[in-house]
Amino acid sequence: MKKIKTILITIVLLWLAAFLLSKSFSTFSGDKIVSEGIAIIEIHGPLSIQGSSSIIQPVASSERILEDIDKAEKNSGIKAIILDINSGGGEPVASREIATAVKNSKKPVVAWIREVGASGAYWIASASDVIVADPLSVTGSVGVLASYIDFSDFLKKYDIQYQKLTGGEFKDTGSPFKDLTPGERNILQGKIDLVHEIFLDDVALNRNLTKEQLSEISSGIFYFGVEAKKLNLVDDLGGRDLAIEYAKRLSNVKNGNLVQYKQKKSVLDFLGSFSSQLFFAMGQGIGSELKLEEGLQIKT
Amino acid sequence: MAAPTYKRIIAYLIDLSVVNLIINSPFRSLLSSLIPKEGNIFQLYSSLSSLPIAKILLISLVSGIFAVLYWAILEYRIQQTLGCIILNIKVKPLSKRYTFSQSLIRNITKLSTILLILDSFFIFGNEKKQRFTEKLSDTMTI
Repeated sequence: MKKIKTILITIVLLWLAAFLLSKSFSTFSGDKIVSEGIAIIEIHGPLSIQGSSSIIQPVASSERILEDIDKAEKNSGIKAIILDINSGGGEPVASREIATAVKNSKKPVVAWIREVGASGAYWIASASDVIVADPLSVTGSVGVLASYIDFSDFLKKYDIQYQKLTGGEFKDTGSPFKDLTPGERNILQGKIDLVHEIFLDDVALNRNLTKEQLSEISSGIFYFGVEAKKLNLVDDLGGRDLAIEYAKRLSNVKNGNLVQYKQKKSVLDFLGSFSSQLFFAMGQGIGSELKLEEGLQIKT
Repeated sequence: MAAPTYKRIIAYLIDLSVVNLIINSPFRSLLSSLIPKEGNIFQLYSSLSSLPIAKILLISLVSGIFAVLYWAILEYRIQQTLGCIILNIKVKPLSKRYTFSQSLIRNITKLSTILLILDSFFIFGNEKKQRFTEKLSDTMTI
């Protein structure tokens, strides 16, 4: 009886050790062990170079997304990548660097636009091999937006003076404390047109658009999936299953094991983002979103 | 008196089932996720080049170590494994003391079936029916 007890304990302990070791094997170096893998990379929320998601607002950080694309590229078990897009765009540099990484990927990339894949997020999608979108998803919006809140009248009302000391005539262009001069407006419009041109050229190249199609989308208007399909902005209408089907087909994979790449968050990240959101909400109540230091923001 | 060869083989097969079906089951599911479930040998052959060979070898080696540990720990603690109890055979140290390293040495070839077969050839032609590793560890099976 004692011997049977020893045998049972040994078997259980060895199984437990094997189980824990196999779990650590499956994720060591962040490189998931998989064969016939299809990586699903999330692009949810506003596109930004840095920043992390919180429980209130997801942020599609290009730093994290580029890392995920790189991991999927280096993992020999991953055969295709699906970009799970639900974003209305964001910072132009973030959009462009992700789009470039997608274009340079040696593995087939399928963009799956769920609800919104517009502006900068569409730029990224356009760089993929196939775009699958829901018939009612919002896409396109190939335009550039620059905005800031003008406090100049507010300052005048309370007799607050804006003193400017600049080295260079246009150094404080876009300052929220003064009106734009016609010259400044021209300069800013020129910059925005330049970003728009780069954006349009890249999308046209990625999607092989005709001049007519290009002029149609250059207005920056958004399209629903069904409209986008007619304009060659998306390849097929459907959801996740169709995106997986395309990924399998493009990579000649029979089964396809899905590997979800998600932003890993430590307890400190969680607490940090929670407290920052809490203080942001408090500050929002007090200062009504007076984000003075940010000034002009350009978004795709 | 040395244990009959057939008893040792049956005991080994029983233990091998325990090791493969229970202890190494987590590694088996990990390996099955690495190897494609293609229908025929030609399709499997065509996907060989894309298999993560280094990872497969590493997992196989680790599961082999777990198999060795099963035999080594039990034979060190109670001189018997489950198969040995069922077949009523046991390990007998020929030295005064029986250490864990002796137990480890006599089971090291259980890392791989080929090594074990080569090791077992030594049974034939010696009175105590000792495998090569049993001779090295100064033990025998009775």
